[in-house]
Amino acid sequence: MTRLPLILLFVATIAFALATLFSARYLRLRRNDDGFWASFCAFSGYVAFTLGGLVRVALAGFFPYGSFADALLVLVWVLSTAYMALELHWGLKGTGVFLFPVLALASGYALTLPVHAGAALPILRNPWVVVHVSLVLSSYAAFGLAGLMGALYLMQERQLKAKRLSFMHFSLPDLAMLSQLNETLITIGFPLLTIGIVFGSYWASRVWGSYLPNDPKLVWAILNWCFYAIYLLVRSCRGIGGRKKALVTLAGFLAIVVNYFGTSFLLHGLHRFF
Amino acid sequence: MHLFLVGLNYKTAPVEVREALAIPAGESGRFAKQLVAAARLREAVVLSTCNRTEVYAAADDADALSRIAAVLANTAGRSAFAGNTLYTATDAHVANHLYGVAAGLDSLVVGEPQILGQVRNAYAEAHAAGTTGLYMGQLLRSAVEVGKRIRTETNVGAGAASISYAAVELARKIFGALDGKTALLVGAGEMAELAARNLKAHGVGRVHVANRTFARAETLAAEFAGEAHSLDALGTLLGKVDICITSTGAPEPIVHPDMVRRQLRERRGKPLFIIDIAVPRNVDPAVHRLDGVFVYNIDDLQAVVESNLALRRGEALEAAKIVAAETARFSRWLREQEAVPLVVELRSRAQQQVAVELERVTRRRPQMSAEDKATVQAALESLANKLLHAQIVGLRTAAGQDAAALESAARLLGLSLPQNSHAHSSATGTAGGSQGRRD
Repeated sequence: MTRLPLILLFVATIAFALATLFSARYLRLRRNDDGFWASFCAFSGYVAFTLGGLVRVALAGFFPYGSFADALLVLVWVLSTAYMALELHWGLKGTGVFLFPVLALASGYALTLPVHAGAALPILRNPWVVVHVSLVLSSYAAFGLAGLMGALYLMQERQLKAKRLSFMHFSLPDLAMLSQLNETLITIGFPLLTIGIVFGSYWASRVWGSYLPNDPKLVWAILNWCFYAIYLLVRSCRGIGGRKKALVTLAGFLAIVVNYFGTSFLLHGLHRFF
Repeated sequence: MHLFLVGLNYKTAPVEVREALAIPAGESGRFAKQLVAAARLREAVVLSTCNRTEVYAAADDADALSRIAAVLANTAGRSAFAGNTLYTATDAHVANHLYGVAAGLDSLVVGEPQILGQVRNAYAEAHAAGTTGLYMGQLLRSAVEVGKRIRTETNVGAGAASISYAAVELARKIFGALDGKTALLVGAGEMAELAARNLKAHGVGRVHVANRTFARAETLAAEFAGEAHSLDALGTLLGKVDICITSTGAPEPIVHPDMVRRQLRERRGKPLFIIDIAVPRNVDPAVHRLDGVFVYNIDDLQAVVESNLALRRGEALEAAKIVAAETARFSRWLREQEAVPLVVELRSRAQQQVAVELERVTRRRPQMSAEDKATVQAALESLANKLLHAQIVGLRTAAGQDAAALESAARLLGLSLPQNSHAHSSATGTAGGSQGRRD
């Protein structure tokens, strides 16, 4: 029974890797078969991943976020849930081409990490933390998908600017849709991040006695927040061109990735519980 | 039974010949009927479009081919066609050709979609005229299916094949649906008017017209129920509209990067699609480099069409694989039909035996009630069918393989092979006309 989550995680890794290949092939050749298999593999991966997560929670008996592996898995799950919803709702095909390799790498990497290390630090067993972690991770998922839409926008825009249209031009969604999804996702992600930080700092004030403890992850998060705040301000005041919007959201997401991994491994601070 | 194709198309016949043989819509059924009578055919379907006239037919003898050609020559008002005007095919090759035609692989514009509907209509008209049967039914219905399959499984019909549609398609990849988008016509040329009409047909809402002579702008704007402007308003208009079509006779570009850049702020990130159909160009090419602004001139659109057609030709190779696979399937079906008369013979032989046995039982047990008699008959028939099943399947499989296999299977079952089957077609080609009225 303890091996079951690992097996499911392994299946998910393979499925996401296959979904990557099929998506890339779909975008390049625009064959319906490839599009179908991309969606099928991604969905199977998602189901396996979810089941693995549920078994893991059942085994551990609590919401898993205590180890880096667990936090990563939660992020992957939120990200894939959001993407699946997006794909189903908009009838997208092959658009997960940049997301699926990330999901495959993340779930593959999580396979190599110890499962129960630091699982039950008492300091983390607090509903405030659960809410804080869920909100922040959800906002990261939204920003991640916005970055994905930005990348796809740049690909489609490149085709239109170069005036040399390949099948990719036909298989990618139109600029208006990519731009709109990008905007919507940022609009959703920003309040999530804001509330997530507020919850986190309230909890910090109870544990460490300060609303803004000196912690590199927090500093990065505040910088991220400022980045998106400025972006939203500019967007609503004077509008931002499609390419700039795509580049900015892509850069914003990269900054989050740096925060997520960098501060966990390179810098030491209060968020390094494990 | 033999299948035939006799036809000519834009590759083999000049337009005068095609015209002479063009059967108007609604007439092809009648022509098929004439053909059946004049060329002594079993079934016939006539497919006639502006690019081709083709006769698909089923007949008992191999000579039907020359009879069809003669009728066509007669219809075209000439004694005979030049050497390679007509192309012909027989049996499974007929399916091979028609599948390619239905998928648009044989069309002037590769992958064009109209031909599929024309194939469907040709069959419907022939069907209504009563010139279709088992063979034409199977051939034409499968052709429509193959055409559909190729359109969904390959990209042979992808990408616009004409300049005006290429513009619409590009607009869709920039804006998504065009409903409610606004267009601006700069200059009042005929080409621009046509392009605007096309966009309007695809959902574009309001149309603005800007022209050097305001009166001309007004008349054109009235046609689209749009707004007329003088050319001075061009700058401000570029800040509002989504699609702009320029076609003035100005010797120098009238839309400059600075002019558009000033409007970008007004546009708040909304994309702008400029179609420049003027020669010399009305729009400075540097405008295309601005964020969210896409400028396509007439050469660009032509290049898009060319590249789309090149993509389609590449996909045609993929489609040809499907055609080959489907042709093999049709070929097997066609050979299996050779087993049909044998199966009929087998069945009637069994029915005779059932009748004989039933007769004997009734004679021995005359007191049997009608109900009992029915039970016995049902049992006998059921037994016969069960015994026959394996033999029928065996016959079909053998027929699907080749003529030799069918022949040995028939010999094993003590059945006589009909004279005009494929096994003997070359030997008895001319003698088969009066035989084989079985289907």
